[in-house]
Amino acid sequence: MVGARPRIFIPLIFVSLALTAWCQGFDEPAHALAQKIAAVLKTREPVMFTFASVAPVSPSDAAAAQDAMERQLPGAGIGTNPQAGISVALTISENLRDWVWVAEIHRGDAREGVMEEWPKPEEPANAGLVVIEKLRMLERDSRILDFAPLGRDLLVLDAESISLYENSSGAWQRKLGVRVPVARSLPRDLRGRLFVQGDVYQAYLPGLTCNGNAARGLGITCRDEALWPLGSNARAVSMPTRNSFEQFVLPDGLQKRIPAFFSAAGFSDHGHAAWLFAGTDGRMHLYNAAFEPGASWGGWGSDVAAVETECGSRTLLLATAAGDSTAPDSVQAYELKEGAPRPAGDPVAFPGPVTALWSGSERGAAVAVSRDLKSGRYAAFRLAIPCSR
Amino acid sequence: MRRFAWRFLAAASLISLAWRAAAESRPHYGGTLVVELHDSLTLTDPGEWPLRLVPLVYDGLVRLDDRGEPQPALAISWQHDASNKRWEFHLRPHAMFHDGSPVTAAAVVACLKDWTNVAAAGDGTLVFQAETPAPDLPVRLASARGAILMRGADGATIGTGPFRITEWQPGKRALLGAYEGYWGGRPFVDFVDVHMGRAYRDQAIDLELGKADLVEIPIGDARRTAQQAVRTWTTVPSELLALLFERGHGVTEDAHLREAVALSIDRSAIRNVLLQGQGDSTGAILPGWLSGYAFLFPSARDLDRARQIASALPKPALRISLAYDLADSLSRPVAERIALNAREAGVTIQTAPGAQATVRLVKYPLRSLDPAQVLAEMGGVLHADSQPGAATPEALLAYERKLLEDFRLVPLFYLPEVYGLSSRVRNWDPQPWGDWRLDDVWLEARTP
Repeated sequence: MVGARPRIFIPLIFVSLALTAWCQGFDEPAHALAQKIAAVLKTREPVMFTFASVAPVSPSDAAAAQDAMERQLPGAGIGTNPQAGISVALTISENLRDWVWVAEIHRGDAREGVMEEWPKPEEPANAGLVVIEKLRMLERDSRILDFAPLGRDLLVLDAESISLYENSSGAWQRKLGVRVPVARSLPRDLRGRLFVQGDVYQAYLPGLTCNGNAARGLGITCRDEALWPLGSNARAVSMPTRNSFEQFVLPDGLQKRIPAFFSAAGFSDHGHAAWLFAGTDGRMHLYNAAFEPGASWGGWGSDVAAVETECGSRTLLLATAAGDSTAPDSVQAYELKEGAPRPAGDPVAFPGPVTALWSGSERGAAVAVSRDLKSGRYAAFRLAIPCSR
Repeated sequence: MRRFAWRFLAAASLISLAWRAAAESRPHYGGTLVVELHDSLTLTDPGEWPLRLVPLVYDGLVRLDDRGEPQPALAISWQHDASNKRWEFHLRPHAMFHDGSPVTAAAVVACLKDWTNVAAAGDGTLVFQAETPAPDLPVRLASARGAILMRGADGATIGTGPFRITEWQPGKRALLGAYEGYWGGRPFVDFVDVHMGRAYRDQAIDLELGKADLVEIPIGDARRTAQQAVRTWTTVPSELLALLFERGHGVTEDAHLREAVALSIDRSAIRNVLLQGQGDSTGAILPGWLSGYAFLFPSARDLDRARQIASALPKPALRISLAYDLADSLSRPVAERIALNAREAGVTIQTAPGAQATVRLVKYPLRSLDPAQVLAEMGGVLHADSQPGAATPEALLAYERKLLEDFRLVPLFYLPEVYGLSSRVRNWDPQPWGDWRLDDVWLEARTP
């Protein structure tokens, strides 16, 4: 028992030292600003002190800044009194380079501002630059499997049909629809894909491949075929009665048998393909260009998509969160660094489960479909990762 | 243990494979990037150009990074004395103007002759000797005013930037060719073809038809454009939309009338409806992201106070005219909404396109990241009888308050710029406030 104490104390000492350094970090600008306030006040009258923050600082940092200021004011000869006639309003703000501590001193109708600039901490390289912009494209009651822009219109695939929506005054209106001729029952957790090139489209449902033409009233023909496009000219063999895939078909037609998976993301922008599979075993599996298995990890959801960003040749992986269809979901961007996935930026939240997540047809974007847990409606989103904000 | 090592090696090989592969996916050289602009530029003087275009052709001694920190450009290093009055800049060796002549200290001094007390100290060193402390001198030198250029025999400007002016049709077209001798390396694209005076609608059509790669999108169209899955990019809010009460008009010489109008404006509603939530409402000249204190300038509507002030004014004084730019699709609805707001306060505003009016709706693009310089320029617009003093935040705040205290200028919004990009534009990584950095951009080959 006695021997355990140092193990407790050592972390406490470190925490204490860290807190001291942290608070001292705020004491410096607070001290300098208090001196400036004192120089303006000239008298030793008490002031009414208020605090606000308009900068993106955490509540704990804001509280620490306020504490630091309240500690430093007496040292500068400034007392505080909530009923005082002179007010000092401290606001934590920011400019391009620095945090800015702004104190506005009101004395009757007169007001004067003093400021202290304090360098923002350096952000680690690339951190915070990745932002997933979520743009709601379409919302409706029935399930959306996939969607794709067709000129100024939007083509939408669901379990029974393919519909063409046109944008009218900012709202999407269904203009045309065609039934998908399916003569058998489809899996409960249905997946579907839609690709558009010019007026021609291809639609995929498990075990079914359809071709159509938007210029000909969406005319559609389908055939039984289990090949499912994965991007980069690679395909998978879909299981017509399941929601997963087996076998991987390389662009040259060579088939590779791999454990069943829900989704796959190809790193096709680097010349050599690397693949990440969301296995039905709940783990992610990485394969190299020679299709040799590499790293594997858990904790992600069942859907993964690769997005080549618009700047540089940086490819990010988007993945849903682990969980089930009863909970709100999120999509997180990851980078692979030193053999391990690392979150890039903050996850983007959805009001329900993400039922589809696919790499988009346009560079720098993916598409997602989510079911709102409250309304039960499905919403299609374009997820874009811009170079900069 | 062996299993672990194998897995690690497998993962590491994948990463190295990715890196090797990345090295093979190098940017492509060649192609012409077509840019369309609404405005027409008649002169090649960088002082007449939008901030985003200047770095294409002209370098300064320093440039600013994404945090606004000075970084080497034509100067590779600099130092100052303890008082911040004496600054030494050391020039980059082997930098050349577009005509092949070397960038010497003498040439730079000749270019910066408007700057006080700058002299060459040897061939590669410049010395600035200021009368007052100038801690922000590098930031000031990074502005368009600090662009280094010389003039040829025909008076044409010659820069040192990544592109040189190959063809110049005033107000219509500028063809900028990649400068092979650029110190930062030749740009990837062969040409940047700038078409000027293009209507926004024509720009959108050209982007859709693949005739343009980079176009301007009016802020009112930004959301609809994004919904059409057009690739867009938005700057930080960097253009001030404001009301300017002209001098010399008897009616608006009454500061109380100007104050009544200013207090009547419902910026929040205008931003939500007409600007579709874009931009920032402001009561300040400097954007908050630059000064850090813009929140000290109130921008909320105070209709009761506006009515109170207006009610004390003589009736004839309550009729004014407001001019807006007909070519700007946003100006008219904003002007009309301001007129509507003012009417609720008892002031009648008649809106009309053009420039002749007692009040104008004006736009001021941010032309520098030096707050003192921005305020000094605005001081010139407002005929202020002084310049900002020392570049301390307190002095700038006091000066900005002084500029705005008589309501001659009523800041309304800081607006971002929105651009549409073609899908073949790669490495698009501009600075948040607008420097396009087109020297890093490359073009994907068009598929037939």
